[in-house]
Amino acid sequence: MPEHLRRAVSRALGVAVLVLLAGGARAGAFSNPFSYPCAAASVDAVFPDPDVFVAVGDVALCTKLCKGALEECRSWGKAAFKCAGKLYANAASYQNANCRVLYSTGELLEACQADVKTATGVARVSVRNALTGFLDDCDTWVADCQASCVAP
Amino acid sequence: MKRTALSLCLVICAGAAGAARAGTLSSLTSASSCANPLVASAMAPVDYFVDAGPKVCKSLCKSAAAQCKGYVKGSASCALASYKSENRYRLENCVLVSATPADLKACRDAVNADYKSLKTEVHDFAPGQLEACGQWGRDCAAACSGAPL
Repeated sequence: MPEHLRRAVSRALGVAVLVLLAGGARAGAFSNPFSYPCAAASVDAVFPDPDVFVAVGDVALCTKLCKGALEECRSWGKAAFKCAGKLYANAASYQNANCRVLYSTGELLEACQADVKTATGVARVSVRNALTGFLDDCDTWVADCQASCVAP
Repeated sequence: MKRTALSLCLVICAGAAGAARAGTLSSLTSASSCANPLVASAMAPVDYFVDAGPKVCKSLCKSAAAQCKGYVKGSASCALASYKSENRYRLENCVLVSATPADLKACRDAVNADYKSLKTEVHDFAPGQLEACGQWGRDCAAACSGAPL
């Protein structure tokens, strides 16, 4: 499988895991009321192929445009994952409220809240790793873009 | 509902169509990759928190409605950023495709007019979606009143 496809599949799986962590998969009456309300979170899904500027027919301009796209790519990733981070923090508050509804006191309540804490921690790490991966993919996209400007 | 879908398409499709217009250079991102701006319509049913009991239920409804508004604003910001990016690349493209200063000016004017129109569409569209979040919250709170004590 080509490297960029492998990365895209890996990112898609990562996002799917994040959606599950935020969603209503937990036992009980209710959980997070939102589906996934954040922007697309993979470079492959958002950006076109890296040879997008080749048609300008000017290597210097093409290279400059590729370089200029880095900030746009990074901004997109930061916004998308900031939204995802907020979604999981919100999800935890609903899940904790549900714990209190299901178990008013005692060990069961504590265990329920501990599960929420664990899941939130996993989600937080997943978001951080996914953002790092997105930013790495931005660098790769720019490098591929610049390479395409001078390709024969 | 049809009207909402049409408005949504105006906002998203216009951005997506931008890439197909003149020249060799257009936007990198598209507003269609932003989150669905119809957040309230994608939320859980309004009686979702009923089992929490009236007091907690109402509090959760209020939080969810406020968060819904936050996601609508996020989606609008994303769309505006995409249109801004599109505008930048299309202006660069004007330089590439215009043979005379008059052509360049006409190209830039057309691009800027499109951008202004797209921004206006987003600004006009968002208040209705914020209101939909508020309505979801009110309906949710109303459903709480029938909650078991």
